[in-house]
Amino acid sequence: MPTPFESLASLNRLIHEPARLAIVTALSACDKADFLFLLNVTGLTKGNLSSHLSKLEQGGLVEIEKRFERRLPVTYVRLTPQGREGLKQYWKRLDGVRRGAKTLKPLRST
Amino acid sequence: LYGKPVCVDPFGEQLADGGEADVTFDDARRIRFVTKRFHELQGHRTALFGGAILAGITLIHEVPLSDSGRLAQAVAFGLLVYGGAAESINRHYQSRFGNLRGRRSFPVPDPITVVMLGFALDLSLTLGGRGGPSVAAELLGVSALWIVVRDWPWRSYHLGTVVACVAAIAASAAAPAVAPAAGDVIDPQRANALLNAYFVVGMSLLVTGLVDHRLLATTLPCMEEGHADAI
Repeated sequence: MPTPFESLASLNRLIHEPARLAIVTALSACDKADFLFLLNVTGLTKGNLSSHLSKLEQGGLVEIEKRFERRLPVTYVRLTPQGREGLKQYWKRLDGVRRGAKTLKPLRST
Repeated sequence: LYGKPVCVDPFGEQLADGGEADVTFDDARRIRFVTKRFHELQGHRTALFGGAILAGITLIHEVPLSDSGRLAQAVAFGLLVYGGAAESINRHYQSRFGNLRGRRSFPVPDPITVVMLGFALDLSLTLGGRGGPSVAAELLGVSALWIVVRDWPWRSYHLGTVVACVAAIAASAAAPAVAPAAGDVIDPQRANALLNAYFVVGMSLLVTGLVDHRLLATTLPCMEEGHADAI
């Protein structure tokens, strides 16, 4: 059985970064969301959000779809099945780390 | 509302230009909640519908119950105005908060559909000469109770609607079923009992709609407005 520290080291760092975790968490609760919604829910700037979305897309965790609605360009983002599974595994591991950390005892100082 | 952080980023990774915050378990819960309930929390539509009911009740007091033609005209006019305003509200929400498509889940009818269905059943039962509590109030009460249980503690204020609906049910149940007098479409005593129940229903929708919107605005602070396109 891995120690809490081994579990911590094996966390998916692409998901673990706070802003990207916020993005994939939001996407896990819906089918797809537009860029404006993600801006509001994460509180990121446009540049930051675009940068994180590119990294997630490169990692195969999200799909980006550009379309026109009422003659305006809209960017929709959707979690891929791989992204959904990755997030599930991430929370499972993090929960394991949390439970494992509770069993650790502080070292006695001599 | 969301408590203190319970988990911090052990890698401490930050973006170069800052503005990042650690995502706690509570943040994740908040994000999932507001994303899942995004459409339900767009409360201005519900509040408008509640306001339309209150306006309708005021209007109906001016129209004799025997004049079914004018009643139908008033209802049709109200629905047209509501339809136009609801579309503007949809666009406003889309330009302010963005848009998303929800995942397929257990369908929960929105309060507007529930109340419309209740009105139709009330009318059908009353025209059939039957009394009893207002179906609209019963359906809204059950739907509000479901919201309280499902979204506890975030939307616990819907408990107010449950209490108001119980009062409306009790008040409307007390009105006996009497056949309408010649010339009247509905017995005036029964009509008044239903209108009192609808006043409570309308007021509940107005208040909870406004509070739902406030919850959306506070959990989803508007950082940007108007453009859903990436740069």
